[in-house]
Amino acid sequence: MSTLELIKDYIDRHVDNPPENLTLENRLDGIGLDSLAMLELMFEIEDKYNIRLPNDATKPETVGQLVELIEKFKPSAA
Amino acid sequence: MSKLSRRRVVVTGVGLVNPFGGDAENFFARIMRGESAVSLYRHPSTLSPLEQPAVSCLLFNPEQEIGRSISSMTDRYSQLGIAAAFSAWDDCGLSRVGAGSDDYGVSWGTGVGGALTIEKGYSDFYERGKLRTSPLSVALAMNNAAASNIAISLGLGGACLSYSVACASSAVSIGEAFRRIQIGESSLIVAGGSEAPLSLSLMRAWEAMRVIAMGNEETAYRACRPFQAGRTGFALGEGGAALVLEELNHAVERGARIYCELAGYGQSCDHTHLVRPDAKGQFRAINAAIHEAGLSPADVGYVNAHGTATPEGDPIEINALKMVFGDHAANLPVSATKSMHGHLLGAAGAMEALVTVLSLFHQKIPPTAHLEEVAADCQGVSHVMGQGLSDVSFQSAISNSFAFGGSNAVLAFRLTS
Repeated sequence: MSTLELIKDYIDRHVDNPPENLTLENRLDGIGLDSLAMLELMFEIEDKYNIRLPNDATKPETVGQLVELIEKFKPSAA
Repeated sequence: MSKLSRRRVVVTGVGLVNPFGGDAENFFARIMRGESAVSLYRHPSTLSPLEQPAVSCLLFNPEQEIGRSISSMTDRYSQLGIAAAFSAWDDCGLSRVGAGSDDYGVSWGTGVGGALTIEKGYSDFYERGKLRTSPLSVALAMNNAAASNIAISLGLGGACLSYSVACASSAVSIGEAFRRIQIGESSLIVAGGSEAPLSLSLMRAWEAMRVIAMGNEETAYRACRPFQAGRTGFALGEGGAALVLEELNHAVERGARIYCELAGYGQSCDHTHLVRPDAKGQFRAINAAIHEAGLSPADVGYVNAHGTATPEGDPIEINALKMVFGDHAANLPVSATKSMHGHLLGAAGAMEALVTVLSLFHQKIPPTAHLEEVAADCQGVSHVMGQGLSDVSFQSAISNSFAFGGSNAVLAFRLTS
């Protein structure tokens, strides 16, 4: 499962009206992911890839920025 | 503020999540028939097989009732509470969108709050060997999560308070909401409670106290038999119940349907023992509630008893009623509906307040289910049995809630004149 698919899977499980076509341009708060949901999402991804995202990373505002952050830290083979 | 100048408070909405799966009217009709929701509950844990008579809300679908966003961010006790509050809110005739106000508040009760979340956290650490827990754990488990989610969802900007007073939690949350409206702090408050106590460790803890009703596959439905000779205790239950309490003129001005008036609230502490109740403390709370409501003992037409069906507790409550009602006690209709919906701990007071409100509104008194032979130490009141009473006329009713810790809370309702 790609990082984008992982994010989409989380959104489908946690948001009332998930967008049918999730794009890199979608704003996270527009989708319905608040700061608490973002923490949980990042926690799930950390567990999935066995990585730790830094606490001081720039807060992603779009799906694309979130994908970029995760790709930067996830193992290359994943 | 003198008691004479206090504002009047009415009930304009009722809502709940109950094991039968229907609305409040459906629930009330079922308990009027003496229908029990208790069954033999098998805990899903593989760690330690556990079977116990209990009440679960198997038909409750949180995603359907409160939406995916909220249900994915809440413990089950909050989900039950939010759904009950939504149901009461709908019932009071206000829209879920745009009808909120900073003059409206939330007053909630729970005994064990997010116990399921806490148990899962410990299971993750000590059973599954995990080294960390979800960042949502704190927000899910906190005892004011239900209240806050209700306030956020409905836009209620007044005081948002949570009370944890063991089995009197939500009688206190309703009583304290009553006080806030009386003195002008709010015009409308969603008051109630919710509980999700079917965790392995909690069920084992109650079992160890020897207060859980005994029953097997065949007998579990009638395991909880308040006031019955040979009774063995209660069945834990999950669920949520809420009342919309409203200042009388506020309700009249918006044309709300009024079920009845919440006219009195009595509180006391036994100050004698942590878990053994005391009739003198209960007497003071009942007396305070009916005195504030302006009722004489003869005016009270129904008592929804705390009635947990423990050998120790039931006769103490009957003694307290005899102390308050004197010569009228023998004709005083009393029933304990825990025999059907189980003991909801911190939500019990709200569930039983709702039953009392509907009883008064419909002029029908539900029975104590499975009560066939009143124990010698529980005699002296008019126990309502069988199919309840449907041909009664009464003006007021009280609901008793007596907690471990000796905290007593009694709510007195009367028909509005």
